Amino acid sequence: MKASNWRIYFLITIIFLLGSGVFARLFILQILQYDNYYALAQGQHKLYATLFPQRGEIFMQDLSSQQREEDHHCPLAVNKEFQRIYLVPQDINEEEKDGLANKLVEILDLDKEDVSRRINKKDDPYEPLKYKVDQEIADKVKELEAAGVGLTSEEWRYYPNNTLASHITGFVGMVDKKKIGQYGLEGYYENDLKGRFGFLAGEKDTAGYWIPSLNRQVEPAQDGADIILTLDENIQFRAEKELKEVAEKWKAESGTIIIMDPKTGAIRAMANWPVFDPNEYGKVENIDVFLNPSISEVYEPGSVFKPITMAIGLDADKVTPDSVYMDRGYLQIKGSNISNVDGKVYNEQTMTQVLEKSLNTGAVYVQQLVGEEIFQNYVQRFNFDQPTGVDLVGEIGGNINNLFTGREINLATISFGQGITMTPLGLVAAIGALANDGKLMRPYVVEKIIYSDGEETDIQPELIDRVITPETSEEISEMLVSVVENGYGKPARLTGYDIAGKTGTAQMADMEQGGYSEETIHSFVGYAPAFDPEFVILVKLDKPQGIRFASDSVSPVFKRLAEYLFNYLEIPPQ
Amino acid sequence: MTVKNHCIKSKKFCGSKHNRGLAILSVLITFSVVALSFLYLFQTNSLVSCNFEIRDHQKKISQLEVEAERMEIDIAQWQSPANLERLVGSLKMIEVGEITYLGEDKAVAIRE
Repeated sequence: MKASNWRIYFLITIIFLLGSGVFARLFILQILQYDNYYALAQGQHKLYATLFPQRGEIFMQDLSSQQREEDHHCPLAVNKEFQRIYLVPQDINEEEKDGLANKLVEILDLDKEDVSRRINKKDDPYEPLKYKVDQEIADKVKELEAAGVGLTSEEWRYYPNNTLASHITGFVGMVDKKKIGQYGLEGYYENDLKGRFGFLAGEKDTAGYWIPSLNRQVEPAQDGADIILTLDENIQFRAEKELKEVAEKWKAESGTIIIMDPKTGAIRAMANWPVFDPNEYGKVENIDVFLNPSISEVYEPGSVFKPITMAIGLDADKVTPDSVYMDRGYLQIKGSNISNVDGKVYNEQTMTQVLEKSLNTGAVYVQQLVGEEIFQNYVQRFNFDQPTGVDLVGEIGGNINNLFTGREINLATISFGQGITMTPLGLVAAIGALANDGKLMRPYVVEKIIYSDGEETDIQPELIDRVITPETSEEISEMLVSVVENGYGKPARLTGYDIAGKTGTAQMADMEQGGYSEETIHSFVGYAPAFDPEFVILVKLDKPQGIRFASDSVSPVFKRLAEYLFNYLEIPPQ
Repeated sequence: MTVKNHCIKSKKFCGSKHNRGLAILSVLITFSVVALSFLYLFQTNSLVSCNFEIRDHQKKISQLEVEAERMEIDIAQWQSPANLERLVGSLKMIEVGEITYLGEDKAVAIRE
């Protein structure tokens, strides 16, 4: 009886202990680890996904289509689906690895050593091989039907015109594993272009597919805004072509062409040399090429600054186009010599002739008549030391500090464009003000932003300041027309059209030894039709070889571009 | 005996009438359950089939969208000034020389 009780108690104890163990385990699973298992269970039949927005696209104008009463925009930056090729080395037979590697090297144009290293990684479940592969090449990889080679589609930014306007667009690069716009418009309008991520929650079936009709919660992704530029595709192409040809012809280190509508500040073309391909920005050796020299580099403009000095003299009522001064070929300011670029003595010369013959002594004469304070005020009004406000990343202002040193020689050299710096765009904006009744406009490259909900924002022209009077504007325009008709600007002359322009051959500062080097920057800046201007053009060539004056190197480029624009924009002769 | 039999008959009669009602109800319930089960199955199948159709259509839409995008990019590249210039170059065309603009007082152009 006693033995029997002992057995029962023993059995009860065992059952109790086992029961307690089961309860304890249930407590741990259902109470303590509730959140984990709930999440696991949810994960098996719930679907949560991030919805990616489409990046907004960038389009250029086609002004010729507007003349045909059509509305056609040309894609500059779009989204394109590419394939990513990857390996699953653990699924590839050892005997087939070498042969497969050879085929992949041939199709994908990869390094044999690199592919062999990747394919031979043992037990590796995933090894990316190549990104941004075109569909045609991906199809060839598919045709191999090789085990352990996979393809997955992915969207990348694509620039169908390759190098065209690359400094304007910038590119979309990877920063911290995120695709982010860098440089140019991609950088400046990143927030508008990138859009907003969305969210999807729903049920999925046993195969893991989303069941569209069950308990779905969708917060749709908001696509980025599309951007329509003021740039015209054909004008941009023509400007880049001319710049490339002239830069190669004179073995120039770099160059810039800017074409702007002076009445609004709308940029029609902004070409820079050398260029880069934003589709392959990773292959660029020197990242300085990403900077847009039109807005991120400053230079001493040289004689193309003389129209500004002359406009100041006219506006301050110190001179008229017919005022006469005595040129002695040179002048001395506290021990420093300033002479004309050709070293000649011209004796009595009018102010118009000062511009026609690009006389340094004449520019200094005007500056000295105007006086230090008024000259300072006017130069400041032209905004050379400030960014113009153009909607591109990386714009800087020039340097006008020499105006305020109190040294007479500095003011004198500034009058003919040495000792003062500005960006090419800053110069174009200022010359645009001379053309546009004295109204200095903010340059801009985006004409319209179209948001994904259909809302549109039209960018309006913006007046920065009226820097000279309309009367002065007309007088300086007449003088600059005379420069093209009778002066160094002759190579830019076009029958039937009034073209206002000025050449400039500026010496470059010697950064190592101080002073100026033998290297030069050639510029031509002008606008047409002079008294009802449709465009202002700057052609700038850095360090051309084997040619001395800008009138021979860049003036013909201006002429060809002006002729093209007259025909393209259908501007009849006056 | 006769009275008893009558009673039994009467009870049988009453009982079978009641049973028949229950039987009909049972049949109806069973039939309803089966019918509803089939309906449920049918609806579930339809739903699954709809889901498959939606999925197929979505896949087709995204394929067509990708194809359309690719074609748009191709068109843009064909229409690009660089390509047009290359094509025109092979046609050996001559550049336009002097252009004459028609004034308002010299209306000689006719547009069809």
